Amino acid sequence: MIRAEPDPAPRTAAALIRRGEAEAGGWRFRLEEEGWHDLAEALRHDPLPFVTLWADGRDVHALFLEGGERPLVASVEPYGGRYLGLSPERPAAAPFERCVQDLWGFSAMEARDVRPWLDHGLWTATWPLSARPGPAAWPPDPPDFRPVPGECMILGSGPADGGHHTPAHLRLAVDGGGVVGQAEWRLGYAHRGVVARLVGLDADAAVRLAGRAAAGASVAHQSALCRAIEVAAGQAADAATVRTRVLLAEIERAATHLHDLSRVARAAGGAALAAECERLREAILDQCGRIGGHRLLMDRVCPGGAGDPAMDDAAVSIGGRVADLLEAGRAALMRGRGWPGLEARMAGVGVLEQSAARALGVGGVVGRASAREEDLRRLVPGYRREWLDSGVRRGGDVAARIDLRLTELGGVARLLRAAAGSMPDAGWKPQAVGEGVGFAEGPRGAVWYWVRMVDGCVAAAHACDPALAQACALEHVLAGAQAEDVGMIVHSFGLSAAGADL
Amino acid sequence: MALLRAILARGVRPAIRLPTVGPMAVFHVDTGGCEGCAMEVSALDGAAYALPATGLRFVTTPRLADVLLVTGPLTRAMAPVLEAAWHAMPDPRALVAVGACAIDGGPFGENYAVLGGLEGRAPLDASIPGCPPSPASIVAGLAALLGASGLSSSA
Ligand code: SF4
Repeated sequence: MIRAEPDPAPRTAAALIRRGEAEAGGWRFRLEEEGWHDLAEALRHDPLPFVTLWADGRDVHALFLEGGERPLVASVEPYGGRYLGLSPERPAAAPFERCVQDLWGFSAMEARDVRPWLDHGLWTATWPLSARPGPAAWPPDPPDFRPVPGECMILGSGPADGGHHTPAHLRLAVDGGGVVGQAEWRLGYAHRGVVARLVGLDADAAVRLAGRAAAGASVAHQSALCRAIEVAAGQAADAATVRTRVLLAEIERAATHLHDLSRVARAAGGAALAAECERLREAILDQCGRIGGHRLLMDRVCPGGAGDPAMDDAAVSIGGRVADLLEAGRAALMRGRGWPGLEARMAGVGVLEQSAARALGVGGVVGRASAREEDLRRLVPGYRREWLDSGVRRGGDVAARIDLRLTELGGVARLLRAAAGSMPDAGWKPQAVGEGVGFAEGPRGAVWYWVRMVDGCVAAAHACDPALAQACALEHVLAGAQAEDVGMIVHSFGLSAAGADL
Repeated sequence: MALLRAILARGVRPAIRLPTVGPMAVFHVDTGGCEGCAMEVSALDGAAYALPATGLRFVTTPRLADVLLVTGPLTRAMAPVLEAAWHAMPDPRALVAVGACAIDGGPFGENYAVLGGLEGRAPLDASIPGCPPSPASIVAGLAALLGASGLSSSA
């Protein structure tokens, strides 16, 4: 075991993490309980960005992004099944703490919220992933909703409401004037146990499964897991593979943005914009379907360095055609956006302030529409910084999220052309440490994976989709909104319960 | 599996005879999929496919539906919800599984949170394979329910 250089008086949270015992390639450190407490204390004033938190049966791990670019993981072994929660300092950690509690039975002390999140009491066991799962309690407890302010009417929607999305229940407390006093999600209906299913799979099968974690970000999930597996194995993708991943990620971004745009536009009464988006998306998916029949680009990214040259050529030519389609469709989209009344319907509605976006860890389009400069593409191999010029919006409202998506569609077209004409450097080969972190900027935000590989198979894993943070942010944004705007606001986030529940 | 058995009466239902007047009303429930099948059904419900011309329409309540269209593996949390939707539908009604998950669990077979697919557990009037199936094959599968007569062929 390597011990990092002892720091006499570490002040920063990152330095406190580094004081622990290095367990994986200088980016994951084991802290004793005391060190973890010091870390929680330091996080109170240190802005170290929190990314995600998970458990692997023995330890609880928290991933941070040091300096906005280096993944840094702190691990602690819960003592008697408990560890000190980070949610008092990092509200974004709250839903992860609740997931860890439901899946592994490790409870976060002093956590902001200790109610179940995924588990409705209908599973075959409590703490199903832990070494000693508990028996299922029957009958299940009724849902434990937050108390509602008096004088409010409760409106529930979902999980089966005929909208074509993964199941989730939204509970609104609405006052006499039609204003939402409180909004709360009940998720977990779409929990399929993706992490439990990843364990034991070989690299190829694991990536195929990751492609079905959340279909709107299939390429992002596949690429993020590929990178994690490659880091674990000390491999690097070759230049053509890196470029193919960039092209596919951008095509997926266009398709998912168009899907989300059409949903918001329909809810906002912009039928013309919605129809343009749907037609354009269909034309793009039709092109995608020509590479091997998968319109949603599943099973198109493979782990381990050298890709498939035929796939690389196909990605370049389809990327070119998608760029043509986007450029040709631009004018019609802008005409749809200018539809009378649309702006008035969306401006100033569903505002997520920058500070809330930061506190709740919301990135992606939603974060950028709230003035957060969050785009992991600047760290993803194969991208050049000068390609990423879509910028941010300050409004944080529904209109800002729509406009940013429209701008990013233009960015995708430019990026597809630039990437097709470039040959990126092959990635640099990390040292094989048996564990890896990988990430990608999906259409709706950052996707993260952590894996531990043993004998070529996944021994432990974690997947993190931006939807979880978005669900929390939506509860915040919906409070105070008009009840009739709720559908539009929810769609403007592009929330996918499949990604939140995994 | 008592929960699932309660969803639908077991045994053979007579061949369904859906109403021949008016478009066939479809209620879509995603029972916990990856959103892939749900997005393809959503595409079908959009402007890119002239759905009303095919004799199909989507409804937002099971009470008005002729067909219950299921996507995604049936999670244990969604089983009571699917059951309630089925019981809210008027007779005659049909059950259609769209995508590998809804048929036999696909990549998401039985585990602590998931029951799996509907095949073998409930009498399916149609199953449309694929992961996900394209909107065109979903229309084709639904068209087979009515027989080609009531539907125009274009997707
Ligand atoms: S069949 Fe495939 S695409 Fe459809 S929900 Fe299941 S995994 Fe997703």
